[in-house]
Amino acid sequence: MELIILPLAGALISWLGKSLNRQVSFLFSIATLALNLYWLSVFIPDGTLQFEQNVPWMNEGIRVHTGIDGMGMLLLLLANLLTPIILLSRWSMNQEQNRLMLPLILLMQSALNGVFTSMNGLLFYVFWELALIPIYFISAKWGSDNRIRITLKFFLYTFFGSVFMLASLLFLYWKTPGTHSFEWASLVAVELTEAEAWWVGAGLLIAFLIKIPVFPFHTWQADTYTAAPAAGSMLLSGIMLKMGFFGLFRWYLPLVPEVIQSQMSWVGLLAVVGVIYGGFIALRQNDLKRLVAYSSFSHVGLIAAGIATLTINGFQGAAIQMFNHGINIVALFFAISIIEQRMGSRSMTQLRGLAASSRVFAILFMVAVLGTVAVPLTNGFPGELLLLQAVFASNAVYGILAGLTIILCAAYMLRMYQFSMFGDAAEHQPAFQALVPSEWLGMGILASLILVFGIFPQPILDLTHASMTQLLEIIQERIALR
Amino acid sequence: MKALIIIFIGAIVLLFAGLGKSERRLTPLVWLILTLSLLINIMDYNGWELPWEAQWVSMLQFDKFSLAFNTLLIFLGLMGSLLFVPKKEDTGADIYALMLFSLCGGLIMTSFNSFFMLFLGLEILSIPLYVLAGSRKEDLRSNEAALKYYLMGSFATGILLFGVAMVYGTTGSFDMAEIGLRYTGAAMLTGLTPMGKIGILMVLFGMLFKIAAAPFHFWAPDVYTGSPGRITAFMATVVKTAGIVAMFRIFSVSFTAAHEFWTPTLTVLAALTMVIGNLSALMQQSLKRMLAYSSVAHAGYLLLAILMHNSEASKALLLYMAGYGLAALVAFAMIHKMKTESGNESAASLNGWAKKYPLESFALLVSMLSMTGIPATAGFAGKYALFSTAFTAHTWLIVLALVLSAVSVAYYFRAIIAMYFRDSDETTAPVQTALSVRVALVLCTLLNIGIGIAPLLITSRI
Repeated sequence: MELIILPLAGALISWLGKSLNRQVSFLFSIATLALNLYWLSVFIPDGTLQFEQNVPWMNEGIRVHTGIDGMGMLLLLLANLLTPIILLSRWSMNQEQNRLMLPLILLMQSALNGVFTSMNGLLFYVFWELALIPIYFISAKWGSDNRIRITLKFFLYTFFGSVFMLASLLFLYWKTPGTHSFEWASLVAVELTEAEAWWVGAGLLIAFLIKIPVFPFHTWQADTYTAAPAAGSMLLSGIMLKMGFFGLFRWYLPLVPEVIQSQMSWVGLLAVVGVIYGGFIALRQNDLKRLVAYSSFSHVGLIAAGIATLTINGFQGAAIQMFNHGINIVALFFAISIIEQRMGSRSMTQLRGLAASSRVFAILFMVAVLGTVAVPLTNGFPGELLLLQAVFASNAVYGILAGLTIILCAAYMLRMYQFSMFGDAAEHQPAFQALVPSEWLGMGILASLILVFGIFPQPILDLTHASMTQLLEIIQERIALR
Repeated sequence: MKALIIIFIGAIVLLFAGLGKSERRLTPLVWLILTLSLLINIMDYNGWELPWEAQWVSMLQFDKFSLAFNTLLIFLGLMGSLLFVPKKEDTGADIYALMLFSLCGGLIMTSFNSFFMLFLGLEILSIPLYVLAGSRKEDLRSNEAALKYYLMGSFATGILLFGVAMVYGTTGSFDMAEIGLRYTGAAMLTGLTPMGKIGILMVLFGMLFKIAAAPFHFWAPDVYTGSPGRITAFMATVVKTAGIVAMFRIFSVSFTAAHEFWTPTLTVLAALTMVIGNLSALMQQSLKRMLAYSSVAHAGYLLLAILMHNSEASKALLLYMAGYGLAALVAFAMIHKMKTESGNESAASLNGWAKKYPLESFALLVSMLSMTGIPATAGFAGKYALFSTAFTAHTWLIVLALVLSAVSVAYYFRAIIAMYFRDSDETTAPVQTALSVRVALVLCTLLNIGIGIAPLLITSRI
């Protein structure tokens, strides 16, 4: 609850305040992170819900009920870790824009923390929708050409998905006994017939698959990531799409265990198709941001395929990869934003030899690229390993196909790095200015996180292990009961 | 009752005051009358009853239900009078007096206990409106609006009256409860007579006309566009609220036993209204026309409350009308301001507003989000309450309504996009908005968000 209110207060103060607006925003985001880290230090990862708060809201069944379990804690940590860095990426930029953009980023953080802590269906829906407003404004106001059309498409797409989710939740709500309740535990306890569960599951699934996005619901994604300003792309890809995965874990799998086996086999197929499709498209991109967008599409496909296996390895791989994908993609977008700001271009064919001008940047960017490629000792490796192992174990063909992602990813990522960083500088190319402190601080933190979690992935796995096992138990118990 | 009398006397005083004094000074008097009646109405709600009031119960019944809605109606009237600064030629005392008379009709329509009073209330509400629609005498479109509204309106009233006569013929009474009893008896023992059925249908159609539901909505776009701004806002909020509440009273008290007969018809019409309203709004270039069609769409959602006609639905209805009323008033007021400044009604005239008018843009933003049904606004709370109440009984209708809500993003966001994301190419200096307008904007916006966060504020009132 405090994690929701703190950024919200920060957003209001920084919006109403006349000056010092980036300092105020940054301070509030750091305070939120500090609180989150403190909670992490007293958190016991045993699969229970901790830091619970529970007060009635509209009636007895519609409550403001928040709490944190292992998976929630992981995603909170991701959101609150990345927000200060995203704010840092705006530090040296247009202050006129920051007046409005920084409060919106904090508002987004508040809504995201709400999504990751809600234990009440309607509260979850409210935060889910609320998160859409700031990101829509950030992308539509400060994006590049065509932003208005593209972002409206994005908004409509995701909003369509979420109304089906609301319909499904409402259906479950009216099935709960007594005075009806949106509480997570009550919704989980509802028994549905096969046909009902199929429809309810489909409604929930469509909202989450659009958000992730899984093929063929991805058509909004590349355009939106490209058109949004750097901070918007980071928010979207780094944190917001994790809402989709979180939704699958918390609000889909335990709610309709009756049909997840059949529905998830379809999701697995679509996800693998997306992995390959995204990878091949990424190979042919010239725009750096578009390339990273498709690479992200390909990577999240693998995470979705891992969840679709319904095994503990798949779940754990998905959890750790959710976290690390967030860090990696934000590092990539950060680097691209640094390049774009200096060179005025994101086109691979126009960029040459940046490595010679700034060695620090070249190294930091390299770390981000290696993390994405999932080289051992970077953070991408353990997750990808677990995921591929899980996918392979459940379906060898999918496993082999999804394994292609490593080769494809190495190909397009290294191609990107090679084209933009090596070679001789083009003649009319402006000089590459050295990084300013806010930039190397932001990139430096991200790069060290990539290495730290590459060498010590175990803490992340420990954090989510208990809640993932418990989730799996709930599902299996319900399936066995029938 | 006391609030009704105060508004009525106030309107007469206003007429006479308009003879001598400079007419521009009359606006504060209107605010005074409405504020006073609002306060007294709230005291009434809290249980302040004078001895002579009890004897009216057979005709008008001021219970919690009607007093809660009356508070809303008077509040919307007050906000409407604050939000619109009329042009010089529109400041006649007669216009204000007519609006107050019309409001009196609205108050009767929430509290009638007999079909006789319903008809009186409806006429008191409508006849001033026919005049008001045409109050801009030199404007051809205003004349057209008045004529259209008058012809169609009196036709609809005729149908309603015919229906009332049929119901009287079936039951032998004008009294709501009495009619309810007779219909219950008929439904249980012998089944409804054809006359009883036709009576219900005709009353239904007459009322559907008033709230602009399909297929009786054709007047709405033209009348809304042609009428002066504040009259349009008045029609879209006060009149619509009064109409739907009257309908709710009729169908929950008198016709509830016959619900098996009218539910299928009403379900189809509700779906039709939602679809036509939303899809037509999507096509509009003029924002005022877009709002007109969107108010048709909202009428479709409101019919869900009639379909359910239980106490949960009445709570949802109050919440919905509060959210819709607040949002629609702000939206019509801001589009009125836009039109007076730029002379046209397309969304492009809003370009660059966020810079020029930060407060006004924010208010319009919140009202648009509220009408779309984005969480943390009253519009969401209302939509949620209404859709949730009707969900189990009319699942597919609700799914349709939800999908259409998503469609509505496409047209409501046009205004938001223009204000916030497009720059204006002209550089006319901003025209300062009057203080009263700004106060009302802030109040409406805060209330909208406040109700959105804590809807119990409203729903615990009935």
